Order: sequence, then structure tokens, then C-alpha cells
Amino acid sequence: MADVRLTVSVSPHIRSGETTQDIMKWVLIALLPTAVRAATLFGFTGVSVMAIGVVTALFCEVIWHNLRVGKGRSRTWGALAASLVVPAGASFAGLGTAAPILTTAVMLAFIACEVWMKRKGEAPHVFDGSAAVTGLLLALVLPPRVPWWIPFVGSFVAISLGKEIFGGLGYNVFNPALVARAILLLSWPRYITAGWFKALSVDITASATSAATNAAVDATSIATPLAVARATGGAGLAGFYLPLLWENTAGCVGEVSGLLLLIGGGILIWKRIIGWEIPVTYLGTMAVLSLALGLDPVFQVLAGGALLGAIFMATDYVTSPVTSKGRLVFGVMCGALTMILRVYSKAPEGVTSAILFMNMLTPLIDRSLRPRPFGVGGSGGGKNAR
Amino acid sequence: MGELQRYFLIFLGALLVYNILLIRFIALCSFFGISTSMETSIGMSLAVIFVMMVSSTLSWGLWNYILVPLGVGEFLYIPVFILVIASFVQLEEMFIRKTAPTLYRAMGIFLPLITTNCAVLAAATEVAKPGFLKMSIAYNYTLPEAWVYTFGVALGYSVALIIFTAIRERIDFAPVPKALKGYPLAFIASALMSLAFTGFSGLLGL
Amino acid sequence: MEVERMLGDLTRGVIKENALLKLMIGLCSALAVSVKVENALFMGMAVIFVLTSSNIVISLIRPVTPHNIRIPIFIVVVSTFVTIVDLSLRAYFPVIYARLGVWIPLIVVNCMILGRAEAFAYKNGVVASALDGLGMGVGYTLVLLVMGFIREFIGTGSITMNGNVLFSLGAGFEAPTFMITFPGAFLTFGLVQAGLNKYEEMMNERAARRRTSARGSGTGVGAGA
Repeated sequence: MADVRLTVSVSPHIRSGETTQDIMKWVLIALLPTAVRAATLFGFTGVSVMAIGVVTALFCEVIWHNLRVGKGRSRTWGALAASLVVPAGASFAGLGTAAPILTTAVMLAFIACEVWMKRKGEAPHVFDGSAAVTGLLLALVLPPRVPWWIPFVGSFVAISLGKEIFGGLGYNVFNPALVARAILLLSWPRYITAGWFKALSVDITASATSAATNAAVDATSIATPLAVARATGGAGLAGFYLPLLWENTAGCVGEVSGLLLLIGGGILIWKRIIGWEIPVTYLGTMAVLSLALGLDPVFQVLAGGALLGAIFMATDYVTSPVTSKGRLVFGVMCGALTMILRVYSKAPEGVTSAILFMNMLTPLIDRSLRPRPFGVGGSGGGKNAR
Repeated sequence: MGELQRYFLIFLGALLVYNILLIRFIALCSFFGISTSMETSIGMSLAVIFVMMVSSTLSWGLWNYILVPLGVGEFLYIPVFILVIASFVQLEEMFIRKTAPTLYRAMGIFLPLITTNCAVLAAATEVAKPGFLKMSIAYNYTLPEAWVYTFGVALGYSVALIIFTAIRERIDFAPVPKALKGYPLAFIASALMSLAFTGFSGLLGL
Repeated sequence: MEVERMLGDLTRGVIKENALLKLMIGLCSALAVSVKVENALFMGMAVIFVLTSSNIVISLIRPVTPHNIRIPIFIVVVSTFVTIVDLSLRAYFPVIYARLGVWIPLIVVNCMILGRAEAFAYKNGVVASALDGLGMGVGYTLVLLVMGFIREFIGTGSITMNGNVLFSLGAGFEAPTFMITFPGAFLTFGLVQAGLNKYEEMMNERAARRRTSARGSGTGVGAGA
């Protein structure tokens, strides 16, 4: 870069050879086993939720990029309008069921168009994979049987409000997928707290683990493991261990297999994509607190979005602290908050709010736990350092 | 329900579940105006805690021992409370200027500014004449409860303010579209902060 | 000219120096109240009344107001009018009163009212102060109405006033109730503000372009995007 102007940016300032693409690629690889398992367990429903989530996220990112850079304004606005008018028009024309397919087609067409533009030599949008990750993560925290427009709107919100409006990757304060989930929960609570696929019976001698069929059960009578635990007061939860680890059909798309999530997490830690601090402290604190509160620690760690949240959401670079010490604090507080919310509030799940809350505290944590610059005496960093 | 438990619930409710800034929108003017630097935020927070505690005590006393017995409570409470707060702030300013000039210089403009801080009046009104805040626990506050409540509100204000300042310091560096730069983005950031705080609703039955 | 100046006083508060969007005062009430268009309307009218009246009175008593106790005096004046509003609403519109709740007494410390009293009414004549109050109040009400409209319409799919549905999107519309929550208010306000900024940006660009072309400079310096 020949610019002599000084660039003011937020720390950290040391660079390694990794690109964002590399990192995102590995995250996607780590999520792949879970996604495939979800596809086998949930069939077309699960696949469509994930597909719509990812495609919409990519679409939205391209739109923001084009508008920000100023390239191809008319076709961008046209694509955006089309993606909104097509589903609305289809619903009014009575073609409601065709709406998702048509809309996805429109979005894919636009994305393909943009990729083709790259070949023509125009300034391309570089797909660094972060939008795909966000879209997939959002899909993974949704119930499998939501209306198609939930991941559609959700991805729009995740990319726009969670990331782009703050200036793009690296500038957001809150985890985009969780922002979208929280907003979706506040907007259409009926759909986000229901739409489970199939219940698990606590009695493992019944064929709960052979349940990977598309038996359509009334959504309102199904309960997730966490809900069951709350209702039964925590008795006999050991029966849930195996299903939660391998074949949980009563939960969000990403909660299907604790084992595969852990494997994914292992891959990421092995490849040094994420640090061990946050997942270990997060889950560890949860286990310790559940013991202290008289709950089943293994169940608490496996149930709900804890694994997904601790491994993939809380560890997002941008929204978690920079220093190792900061990350330990972050993980511990996330775990504590999750348990408090699960036990003491009426909320169905504590992970989303806990992580969002800690995202909010991250700038403060980063500010206070600055490593002491070499040679500076006294108390070093902290609020008085400025 | 034991007294201590009640205190805890009142405190938690005021601090988190019904956070005065992010859930109830009170005192926003100062929220956006002061959150540009950490020193001013901390200064304002300390000042608010102090003023709130004293003025709530005063207004509680006034309401229970003067206004209600005289039967003029309903339509005089607004000017009475406000005058109490304004006068107290004025007195406090004079007192601090004489006894601790460095502190006075540090707090600077904030002392008179607190008079118009909606949060102080809101807290003062609520400890005396509850009914505006729909918390699920019964509220006809005794004096210790009023203190607990006010401290919770003041701390909630400070926490939200300090967190927001840290966030704003960070987003100030961001390459944001021009129309959104500055306050609009700050509002959107506080929308997400408010979102995070709504996660606490329903905590402990509040 | 006198009329021009008066017109300026009146219109300034509506857009150019809009209390909420530009001066950033009076926010608390605006965000909380804008959940329904109905609430926004009543709050707006209350604010117009209080602001205009107190501006007039404060401007009138300027000669007898000592500088160092002016704030308590302003407050007494404002709270008188707020009490009038409080009691009238309670008597004639109890439903609205219940909904507006704590925001009525908080009009007293509404940064906008005290702010205009201090910045304008205390330093200007009665007519100017009255017009300023009116303009500011109208600007405030306009923003409130826009926000209320957006939030109520998107958040519930219909606008109801006094129990009568004015217009609605029909039952099939899955309304994002997020808009009527508190975070939704922040978001709406931020977007409205951004919208106004964008609008002004475009107006400025257009004016700048017109100026350069009128000057006849051929360098084609347009406004950079």
C-alpha cells in the first residue's frame, strides 16, 4: 500500500499469515459433520433451513458490498427488490409454497451474476466465507420446522444489523447470528420456541434412538430435553445422554449431535483457529455451577445450545476479548450467566442472552485487561491509562 | 419472603431486569451526550449515584411525612420533588466547590446537568409514589427498600453508561456509511445492547 | 425582515434543528412513547402545549428572574403546565394517561423543555419564544408520529386509534413484534435519523452541484459519493 496516511485501527496489530478465508474455511469444515447429521435426521426441512440461511447471508453480504463500494447500484437495488417482491407476490398470488424456491433462485442468480462479473474484471466481491459461516450458524440455532422466511429474514438481519451496519467484518460488537436469533425470538416467538421435530422419550429402552424417520408429530406437544428437565425436576436425565450426543431430534438444527460438535471444536482447537480458553471455561463453569445447584452437570453441558454456543459462537474473534486472561474471564462469565438464566428465569435457553451480554462487555474487558507494556511501571493498563 | 430476599429482588430488578437506561429509556439524553469518553462517563456515574441516593431519601421523607399527611401529594409532587433535587444539587455544588475544589473541577459540568437527569426524578418519584414501574413485587417502599431500589437504579445507569462508552470508543473507528456515522450508529448499538438486557426479563420472577 | 425572522423561528425546530434528531434532546420520552401512533399524538400535543406555554411565561418574566436561581424558577413554571396536562389527561383520557404513565411528570425534566427555556426563551422576546416553542413541539411531534407509525404498523400490522382500526395489513401478516419492543425503538430511531442524514446529504450534494454548474467551472467537481 503506497498510502502514507496513517490508519487508525483497533488492536490487535500483529499479523500472522492466516487470511480470513483460511479461518472461515476451517470453521465450515468443523461445522460440516453437524450439518450433515442434521440433514440426515431432519431431511428436506433441515436442509432447506440451512440452505436458505447460507444463501441469504451471502446475498445480503454482496448487496452491502456493492452499495458500499458504489458498484452496480441499479442491479443491486433491483436484486434486493426482487428478493423481497418475489416472495410477497408469490404469497399474494397463492403460490405460497413456491415462494422459498423462487426467492432462493433469485438470490442465487444474483450471486452467480456477481461471481461472473469477477471474471469480467470488475472489482469483485471477495467471499471470505464469514457470511456463509454466519448464515450456517444462524440456521443451526433455529428449530428445524420453521417457516422458510424465518431463516430468510434472520440472515438479512444477521448480516445487516449484526455486521455490515457497523462497518463490516471486524467492527461488529455482537455476534451476528445471535443478534438475529434474539431479534427473531422477540419478533415471532411462536416459531422459534416450537417447530421441534420429534420428542425424545426419557426411557431409553424405548426405541428413541431409532427415531430418524419423518414422523410428523404435533409441534405443540413436543418438548426439548431442557424443557423436559425443567418439568420433571431433573430426575432420570441420564437417559438423555446418548441421544444428546448422537441423535437429538428435539432441538435446534445444530443440537443434533453433541459428539460431532465436540469433534468440530477439537478440529478448531487443533488447527489453532480458536483458543481453548473460552470453550473450556464456559463449559467448565456450567458444569461446576450445575453441581453446586444440584443439577446434572453432564446433561446441562450437553443440552440446549451450550456446546454450539461455547465452541462456535462465543469464540468469534471479533466479539470476544483479545487477551488470554480476558478470554478466561469471558468464558467463566458466559457459563455463569447461562446457568443463572437457565435456572432462575423463565427463558427457554440462556446461551443466546449470556453470549450477547458478554459480547457487550468485551470492549470493557479488553480495555481493563490490557497487558502491561514492557517497561511501564506501576499498575499499567486499566481505565486510567489514557 | 424474607426481608433480605426482598432487598435482593428489588436490587436486581432495578439494576438488570428493568434497567433504567436500556429497558425504560429514562435519562437517554445524558446517555448519548456523555458516553463519548470514559472519564466523563465515570464522573457522571459517580455523581448520579450520589445525587440519586440523597434525593430519593429526601423525596421519600417529604412524601410520607409532609405531602401525604397534608393531602396535597397528588398534584404537588412534581414541583416539590424537582425543586428538592434542584436545590440539593445547587447546595451540593456550592459545598463541593468550597471543600473539595479538585473534585469540583473534575466533575465540572455534570453537577448542574444532573438536575435535568430524568433518572434522578424518576427514581425519586418511584420510591415515594410507586405505581409507574410495574415490577411484580409489591411496592410501598420502606426507607431501606427505597435505598436498595435507588442504588440498583443508579448502578444500572452507571453500568449501562460505562459499557456503552466502551462500545462507542470501539465503533468510532469503523468505516460506516456517512449517513449512519455518529449518532445513528450509536442508536443501533444501543438497540443491540437493549436486546442483550431483555434476556434478563423474567429473571427470578420479576 | 420581521416576518422572515418569525417564520425562521417557527420552522427551525421542525427539521433543520429538530430537537430529537439534531439537537438530541427529549429522547427519553420519544422512544418510550412511540409504540402507538395514538400515544405519540397525545404526547406530542402535551409537549407542544407545555413547551409553548412555558416558553411564553419564561420569556415574560425575564426581567424579574435572577440568573443564579433561574433553573428552579423554570422548573416551577414548567411543572405548573405539566400538572395541568397531568390532571386533564387523568380526567378526560384515563386510558391514554395510564399508557403514558411516568412520562407525563417526566415532561418537566424533558431536556427539550428546559433546554429551550434556557437557550431561547430566557434570551428572547415573547413572540419569538412562542413561535420557537411551537416549532420545536411540532418537530418533536412529527418525529414521534413517524416513529409511532413505523413501529405500530410493522410491529402489529395495523394502526388502531381509540379502538378503531384505521388500516391494517390483514391477519395473514406475521408482524415482527420486535418493533414494538424497546430495542426496536432504538433501532427505528437510529434508522430515522440515518434517513434524515441521507436526505440532507443528497440535498447538499444537489445544491453543491447546482452551485458549481452555476459558477460555470468546468472542472466537473461533483460531490463525491
